[in-house]
Amino acid sequence: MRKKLPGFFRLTFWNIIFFVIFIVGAWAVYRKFTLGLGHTTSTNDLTPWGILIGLNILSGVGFAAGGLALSVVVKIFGLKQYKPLVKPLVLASLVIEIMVMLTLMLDLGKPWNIVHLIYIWNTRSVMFFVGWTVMLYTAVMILELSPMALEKFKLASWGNMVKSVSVVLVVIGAVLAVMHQTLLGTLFLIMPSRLYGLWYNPELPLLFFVQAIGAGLAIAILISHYGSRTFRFPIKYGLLFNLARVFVLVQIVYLLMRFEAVANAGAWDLMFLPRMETYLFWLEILAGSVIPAILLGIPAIRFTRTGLFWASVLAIGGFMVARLNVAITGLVAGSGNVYFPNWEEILASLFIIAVGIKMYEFVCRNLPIFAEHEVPVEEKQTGPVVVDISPEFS
Amino acid sequence: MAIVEGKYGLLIDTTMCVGCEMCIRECQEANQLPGAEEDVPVKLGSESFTILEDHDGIIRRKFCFHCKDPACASACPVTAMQKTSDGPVIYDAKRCIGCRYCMVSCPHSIPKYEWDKNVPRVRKCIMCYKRVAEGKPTACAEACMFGATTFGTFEDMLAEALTRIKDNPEGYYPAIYGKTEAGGTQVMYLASVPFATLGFNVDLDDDPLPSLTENVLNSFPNVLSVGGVALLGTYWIINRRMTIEQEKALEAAIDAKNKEEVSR
Repeated sequence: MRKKLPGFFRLTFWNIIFFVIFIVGAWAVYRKFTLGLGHTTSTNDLTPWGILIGLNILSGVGFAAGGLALSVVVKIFGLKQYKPLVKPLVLASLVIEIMVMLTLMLDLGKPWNIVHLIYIWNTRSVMFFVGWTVMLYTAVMILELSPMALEKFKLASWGNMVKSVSVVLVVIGAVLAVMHQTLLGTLFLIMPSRLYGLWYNPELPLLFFVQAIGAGLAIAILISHYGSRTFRFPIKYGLLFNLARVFVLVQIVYLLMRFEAVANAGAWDLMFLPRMETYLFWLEILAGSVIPAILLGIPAIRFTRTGLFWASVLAIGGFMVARLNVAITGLVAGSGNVYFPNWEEILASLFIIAVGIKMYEFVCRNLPIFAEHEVPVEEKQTGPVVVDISPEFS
Repeated sequence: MAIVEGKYGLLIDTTMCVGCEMCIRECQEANQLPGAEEDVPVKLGSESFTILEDHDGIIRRKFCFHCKDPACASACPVTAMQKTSDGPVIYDAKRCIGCRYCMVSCPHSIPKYEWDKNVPRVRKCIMCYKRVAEGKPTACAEACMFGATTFGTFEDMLAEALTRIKDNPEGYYPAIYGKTEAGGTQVMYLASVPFATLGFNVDLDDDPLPSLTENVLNSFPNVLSVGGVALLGTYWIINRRMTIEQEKALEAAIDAKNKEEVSR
């Protein structure tokens, strides 16, 4: 029933944009490796971390939470109706982690030394554990997707071996995912006097984790739309509506935790000072949490394709602002510097994102990632048939 | 807690500093940094490990505090920043990956970076650790002719600081910066005015900064093993329920089939 899909290299609007970004971005990457970060980014001694960390790493990792969350929901809690979403999201998490590694190659001063993490262990360092969870999380997701790839290369027996330990993989992956998300927040705990009061508080690790769950849900919605648009199959709206409901719940919990944390840190008054930090804080809260939660909470909006899509886009945008606020706005506040990324830095960031999207597309064209969207979900079983709950929304 | 009571210390007495800049010039020479001839640097940077800041006539020398439990040394994932038992916090460029986490974790914003090199190093005062290991004073302490920078064992420097305050209470603000801040530092300061007016970070309490992340890291083994077991347990319970339901359904189907055959 497969219609002819647009090719990987076909001259579409987005492919042209990607092509331009690749060419110019590759040139920016070359410049970074020959001239150093000073010439190719706006980072300097006063603001050593820029958007490659604040956006590509912090936001990217937040998006990667969805893959393992869905795996846990399906495999551990037995909610098999969400199975169609698992492979697309696990692939997204894998591609994102690869992009995080690519970002590190571009941002680290001496990326070739990253192998030191393997045999020099500073177990007091949060950054050490961040590096290791990236590596381990990537390995787990490669293993989770390997049965599919191995089938394609006629090595199905290896694939079956992996499938038999899939529960253990999912549990290890879930544990790693929790560590991975909370560690990013923990990174900033060491900067109490440098991180602006609206963002510094001892609950940062937990807030980062809850934030990531919300972002993972929004990404799940957007990936379904992306897959549907690129590969032309019907979206399983029933699943997405439930994800949207959970998103609303997660945002309510997050907002309660966030405002309580700000109050406990003695930063309540900072929310009303006429400063750039205040405006960016409210942008993050409104665009990332309040408005999307209200939009998705109203059934009349949630049950429409546009409402679902644009509310998720807003949530993702707000989430990215939130992560940028921690890494950049919060640190710039007391630095005596004004930071805005220069065009090469923006280009490097876009380059990484474009590589990620095209890599995702490439894998989706060659492996049955979205296979369960094309046919009804079936289980090999001896009992009653599991009813697909979404026929009226497909 | 990993506070290292380093053997040596420095006492910077800002009431004695006249701003002659000999400390800066000697530091530049001892570390083979360029620009020691003409103007001395006015900002800390990849080529300047110490500078003088003029705060309304009072000169305050700024450089690495060599903390007893440094945030930078705990932050560095590959131990490029290391606290030594002699006191200096030193940097090993061969280990460094250039993540700049040490730079953002330092509460005094001391470490600087070689932004214009494609093989960059982090740069800061290393307390002349090779000289200190031989028992010699740091270049800046040897250079200072006015007693503003003195070098000795940490106990001697602390005792000297306490004595100066005791003997001249009007001349000194009654505190030693670095005695307890963030777990204490090898470099201590005396001043005639509150330290906040000289650009010091006075928002630090006595807990070393690494303890803020260690509390979280140390909780991981417990949280994760409990969480892992809970997830496996949940899977087992739910899977058992589903299997039992399927078995019941299968039995019911077989019973129905048997009844059908019997009734024929």
